[in-house]
Amino acid sequence: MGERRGHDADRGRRSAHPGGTATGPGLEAVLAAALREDGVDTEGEQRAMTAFRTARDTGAHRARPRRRDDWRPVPTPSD
Amino acid sequence: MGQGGDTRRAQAYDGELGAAVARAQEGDEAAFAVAYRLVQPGLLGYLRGIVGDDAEDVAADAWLEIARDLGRFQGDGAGFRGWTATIARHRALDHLRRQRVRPRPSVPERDLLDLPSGHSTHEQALEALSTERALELVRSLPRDQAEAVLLRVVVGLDGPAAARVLGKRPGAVRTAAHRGLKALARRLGVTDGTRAEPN
Repeated sequence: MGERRGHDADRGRRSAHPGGTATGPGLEAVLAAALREDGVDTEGEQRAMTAFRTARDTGAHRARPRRRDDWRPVPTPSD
Repeated sequence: MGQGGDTRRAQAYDGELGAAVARAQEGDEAAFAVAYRLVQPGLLGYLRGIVGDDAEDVAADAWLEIARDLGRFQGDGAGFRGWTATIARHRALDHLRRQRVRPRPSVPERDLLDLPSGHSTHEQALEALSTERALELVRSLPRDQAEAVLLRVVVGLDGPAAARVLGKRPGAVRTAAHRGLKALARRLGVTDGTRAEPN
């Protein structure tokens, strides 16, 4: 999904002036590394697998999409 | 907003994720496990920022719904991350509403050296501290800013996807994320180029 570029789209990217705070890729990378929970989650995975098998085997996966389930990429018109 | 650092990591596996989801929809359970492992780190990180210690329970509720409704999903890997984040968010809001009705006993402050793995190396202590600190800071933001930052940075959603998860206009979400990141940068003492004294 592409992000539409408005006139102010890039202003949020970096705010850097002498003595100012720097937002931007460095800070985001630090936050992502600290906050993503990368550990192995065997118990949670097993529970999810059980739920998957039950749903599959009871035919739940044959249900029709609702609007909220449609996350297909929107084609971006060329600028 | 630009896509920084490790947010790219969430997106790097989108091709693999999209393929796994498609196979899982056909009944392939190994493929569902792949999807779980690709999505859960971001999902759990997002939920941790919203509901704290109950993140695992809320994530488990979310995965029940994700597993059940998997057949309805339409989209690619990035879309799957948005769809699962929406489900997780609804479960989190339900959880918060239930908490307001039944007040919880106060939780004692987590011992910073109480590491989940049971091991306690210096390196892991530092890692645990920085995660604790990052969480503390994010959870101190107004919730709209916390969510915007978490969805963008931890789940790795782009602007339009984050806005859809939150049910808000993209401009409002962009502003909230920008404000949240500025506040975090200030609290972390990050100035341009050089890092100031840590708080």
